[in-house]
Amino acid sequence: MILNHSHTDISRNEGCTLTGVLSVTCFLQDAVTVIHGPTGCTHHNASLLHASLAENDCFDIPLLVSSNVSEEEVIFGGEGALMQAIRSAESYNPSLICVVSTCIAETIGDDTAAVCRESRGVPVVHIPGSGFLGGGFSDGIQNALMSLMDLSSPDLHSTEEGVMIVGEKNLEYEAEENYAEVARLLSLLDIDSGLRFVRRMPAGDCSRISSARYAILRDPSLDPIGSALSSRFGTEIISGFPLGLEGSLRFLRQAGDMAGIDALPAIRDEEGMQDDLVATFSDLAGISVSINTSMADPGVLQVARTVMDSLGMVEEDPGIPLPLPFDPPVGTTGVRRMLQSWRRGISRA
Amino acid sequence: MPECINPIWPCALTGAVAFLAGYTGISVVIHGSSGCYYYPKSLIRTPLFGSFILHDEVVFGTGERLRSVVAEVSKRGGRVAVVNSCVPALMGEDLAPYLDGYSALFVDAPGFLGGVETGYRIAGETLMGEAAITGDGANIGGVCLLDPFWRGNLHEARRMLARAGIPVGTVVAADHIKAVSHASPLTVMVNPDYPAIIGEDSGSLLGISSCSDTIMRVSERVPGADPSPLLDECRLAEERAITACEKYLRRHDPPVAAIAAQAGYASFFGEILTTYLGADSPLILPRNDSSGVAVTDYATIADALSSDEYTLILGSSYEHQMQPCAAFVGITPPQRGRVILGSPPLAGSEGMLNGVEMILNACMDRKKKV
Repeated sequence: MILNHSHTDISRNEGCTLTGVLSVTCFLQDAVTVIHGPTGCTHHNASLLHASLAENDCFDIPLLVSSNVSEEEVIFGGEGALMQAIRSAESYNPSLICVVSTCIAETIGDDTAAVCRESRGVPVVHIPGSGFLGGGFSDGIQNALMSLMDLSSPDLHSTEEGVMIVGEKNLEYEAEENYAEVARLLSLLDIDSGLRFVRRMPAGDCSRISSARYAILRDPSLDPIGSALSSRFGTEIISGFPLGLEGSLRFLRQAGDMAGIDALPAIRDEEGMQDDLVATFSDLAGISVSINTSMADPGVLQVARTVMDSLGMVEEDPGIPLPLPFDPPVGTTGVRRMLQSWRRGISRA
Repeated sequence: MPECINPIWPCALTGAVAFLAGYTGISVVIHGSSGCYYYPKSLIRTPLFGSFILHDEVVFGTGERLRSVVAEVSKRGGRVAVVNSCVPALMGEDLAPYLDGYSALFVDAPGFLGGVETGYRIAGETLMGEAAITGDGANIGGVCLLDPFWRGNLHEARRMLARAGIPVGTVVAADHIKAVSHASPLTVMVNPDYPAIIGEDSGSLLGISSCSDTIMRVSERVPGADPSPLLDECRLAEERAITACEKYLRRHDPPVAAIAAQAGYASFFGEILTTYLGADSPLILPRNDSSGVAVTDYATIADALSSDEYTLILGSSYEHQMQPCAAFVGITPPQRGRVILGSPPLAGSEGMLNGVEMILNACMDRKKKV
């Protein structure tokens, strides 16, 4: 139960900035993340990652090194503890060390960035992660992506084949299925998906970010990352995964335009698939349903109502309450899963 | 302090919140940033509130924000407990004036002070400043909402005390907040790693011999109490456990076990393994430092578990992941990937039987797979 009294700052509603950062850095292969703060902050996140990854049949938790700030460091400063933690991280021979500062590190005034700048045999990136200073979970994701972008140089002249996928929600239960749907749509245009910045990506691939000509953001909240990619590396951007039926067709058009490909045949194919989908769920036509809009994501509501219109469902009160997904369904396949959930809900009513 | 790799035991703040959240009639506000709210909230399935402090409040003071949250929460009725987290604790603000006019309990339990048990003790000592011992009988202590066996232990302790004719004073920490004002002079423990807080610690109900000793000790001091039905019950329970273990051992060798748990539970299961199953003393990796050095570092635990061919692991889902081929008994939080709805105990005679049952079933299931 949350109390949100602030009318000016939505970050009170979100999870911790640190968790947002870790949802990115923990998905860099051969990198180690150092968390500069008390062990409690690291434990909270190790436990969350343990739970989230187990849901996706991944039973190894990422390596998180805590600088273990206790009362002594709070009083005398924690930079020594951070240096020790970085040395410990180095002993694992990673390709990259990500150092994330926490509320405590910021409050006691440790210069985490300066410690990270010291010359070492392995690159060390500082990512701000304090919960109260940096906003919330989504700010953490942006901080991480922005900092990792610094590992790439605009001077790279090679060009990546394929489209870079940016900012996948790594803790999302359906993350891999959503990616697969985007890859399917791109394949209709004979476009490959390329770098996944960042999902199970080798840390060394951060240097290749600048060479991607095109990128697709997970959602429009990552527009600042898209702008940075455009201004620094000239990357062309699509500002979000395709949402719902109409969104999928629009996505094909955008991707085709971006890559200079005629998207019309792909759009026709997808329209055919969507017609089949609507026919499969024609038993839902005419059913009176209701939607609880109070906590729903506006994107979810928009997709849901469009689909209801397509099927001829009737929204009225009282009606059978429809279960809504937490995030807007990605692509035509996402809509199919939402409809299956609706059908189950209606059959139980 | 040396660095720590993937620490797997929660902080003092979480322990303090778990203590207070066990009481009805009091709303718990976590005074800190969002991360300090969401993690305890994910573990403790009761309503919790947060102040969600932000940058401006850290710079200019968190008191006004705290007061506005407490004002809002107070409208629900009952009292309010404020648990202070690392950042406001570091700022050194005097928050007491901001709680003036509210029936608020202030608990200073920043995470950097230690682990769960430390926070539980701090919260307990703060609340028990208001307690009064007015009744006969015994309190039930060592109940903590983070313990996967807390409800089962509570039911079993109540059953046993009732059977011996011993009235229950208050339950620490799962009771109405007003119950602390009519506590009993004695306390029996269901999980000795959480301190008694109030009343004289009269022993533990973990394990048959401790259980018998504790019930006899308390009965001697409570007028009208009769321990004999329970002592008979304990003897019968032990016979059943021995029979089941002997049958298992006719076809199988004793397990080679490692236990990763709070020290009290580790000792309880260690005794079952050595006494009833003839096993060698198990490797014990205690989560807390009540009887040695706590081992809460994932990498250290993984190394220790790979040092021998353990056939039985008792611990959390972390240890289960480290040794997926061993028989596994979940006794330590977290228990991810498993459904736990019922209330099995570890305390009391039923708890001992449940402990033996879990071990034997896990070992037999593993044998079927191998």
